[in-house]
Amino acid sequence: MRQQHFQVEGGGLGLRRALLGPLQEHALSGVGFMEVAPENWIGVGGRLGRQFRSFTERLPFLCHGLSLSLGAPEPLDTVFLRRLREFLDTHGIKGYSEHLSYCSEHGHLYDLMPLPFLPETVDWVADRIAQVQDALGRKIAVENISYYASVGAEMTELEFINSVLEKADCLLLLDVNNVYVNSVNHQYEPIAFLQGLPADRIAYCHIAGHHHEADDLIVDTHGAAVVDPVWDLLHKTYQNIGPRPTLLERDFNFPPLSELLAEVDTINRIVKCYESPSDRQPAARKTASATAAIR
Amino acid sequence: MAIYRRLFFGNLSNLFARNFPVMRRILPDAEWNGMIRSFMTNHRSSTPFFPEIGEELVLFLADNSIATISRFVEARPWLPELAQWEYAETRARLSDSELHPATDREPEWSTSQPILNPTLQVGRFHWPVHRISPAFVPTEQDRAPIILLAFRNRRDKVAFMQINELTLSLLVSLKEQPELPGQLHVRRLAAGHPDGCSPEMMQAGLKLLDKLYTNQVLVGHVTTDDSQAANL
Repeated sequence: MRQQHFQVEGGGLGLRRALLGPLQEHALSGVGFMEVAPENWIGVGGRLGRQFRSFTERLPFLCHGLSLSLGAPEPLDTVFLRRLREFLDTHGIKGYSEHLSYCSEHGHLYDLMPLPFLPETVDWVADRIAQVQDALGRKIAVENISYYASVGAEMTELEFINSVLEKADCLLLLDVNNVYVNSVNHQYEPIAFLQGLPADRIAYCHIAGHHHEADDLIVDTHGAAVVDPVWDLLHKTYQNIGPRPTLLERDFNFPPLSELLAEVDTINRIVKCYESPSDRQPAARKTASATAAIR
Repeated sequence: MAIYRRLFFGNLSNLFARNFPVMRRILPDAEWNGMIRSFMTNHRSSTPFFPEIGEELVLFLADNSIATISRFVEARPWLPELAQWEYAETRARLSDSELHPATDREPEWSTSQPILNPTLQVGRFHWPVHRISPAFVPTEQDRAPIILLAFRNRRDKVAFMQINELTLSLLVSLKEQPELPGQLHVRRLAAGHPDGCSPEMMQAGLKLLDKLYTNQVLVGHVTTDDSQAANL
């Protein structure tokens, strides 16, 4: 299978309302792309709507959904899907991802619940992902979420994710911070997890900061700077699968813009380390390891 | 699962605090937290869109079938209307309807059809919701209903206006029959008034249209000729 990246490059930055003002003044030369949650922007006009539009006209955009509730027991919201498709088309969005989870059960919860890692769940969620891909007329990526409790698992997280990707024939948004968070909270080996994923289905990556609550509990808050072990894991990710466009998520507790842009630059530098010089195609594993050795 | 309860609660509490800043400041923490918890237990939210989440709290507070929230509201009877009013402000601010482009031409209401501000929100309240603050929590309803408008102006600011029943009737008429010139709306309203279509009444009505136009409750006008030209 050929590589199926979303058509964006380098390091990206999640666009939040609080960043609209500071970012407007900025050249954004180091930002390869941006991402928003469509549920925050669909139906928004006025000044906010125009500001948003000015960014989608400046940079390539991805959308990262929050409310589609891929794993929910109730039918998919077809009205929502229609408005979503319109939004993706209107703004020329380069790719759409959602969480491999559910966020509604008789009503929206506005937060993400983990799915039980069961063969039945694979069938259920894969079928719904396929429906979404039909409705949106494009392949979507699903994200490995951070989770704090597992409910009635009969397979590992890795087996679950791989089965869903295969069965739904969809892509993966690899959240590197979530791999780290889950590897600590659920005590598994993050590198082995990365190596077990189908590299050719990885559309792009997320990276973020988290909150260290206790030695055995990290909470995926998107409210702090990316920590060194997660940067290391990003290196290892690229070593194993080749470089991918990678988005920095920061949802609150915003530092000065220069600090966020410095983190995006770090992503750019790491991506460059693993690009093959000839055609900027994803590096072969051998080249990547050689570069990593320098580090 | 304790961490999920904490995360979900914190998320919703923050979302609603941003949507209902006045309510958040008035309610002590224990009361606010109790309301959010009851919302989580009892309300089924239907919107997937975060800008519309405020409506879910408005619906929840108006839901008489939930005993805990009925008791909560009984002790704070102004609360559902305050929620409606705060949400109206959000709707006007975020509405994706765009204002008709500005024109230098002065309206001539005998032929000009007034164009309503498409972001206009209208509410009729029993409580003086526009004056409620931590320093003023009303203890009784106003005698007459309070009719309030919220709308986005050309400077992208949300403006507010208190109006009377007659002005509301005019706005309803404009909304229902946008194809009629302003003067005809005024004439129809005046005809239903005890004073009838006296020159004074007509004059007052046209002045009202001018005032609404200046305040950007009306954001433009087309003449019958314009609209015929557009149809060709």
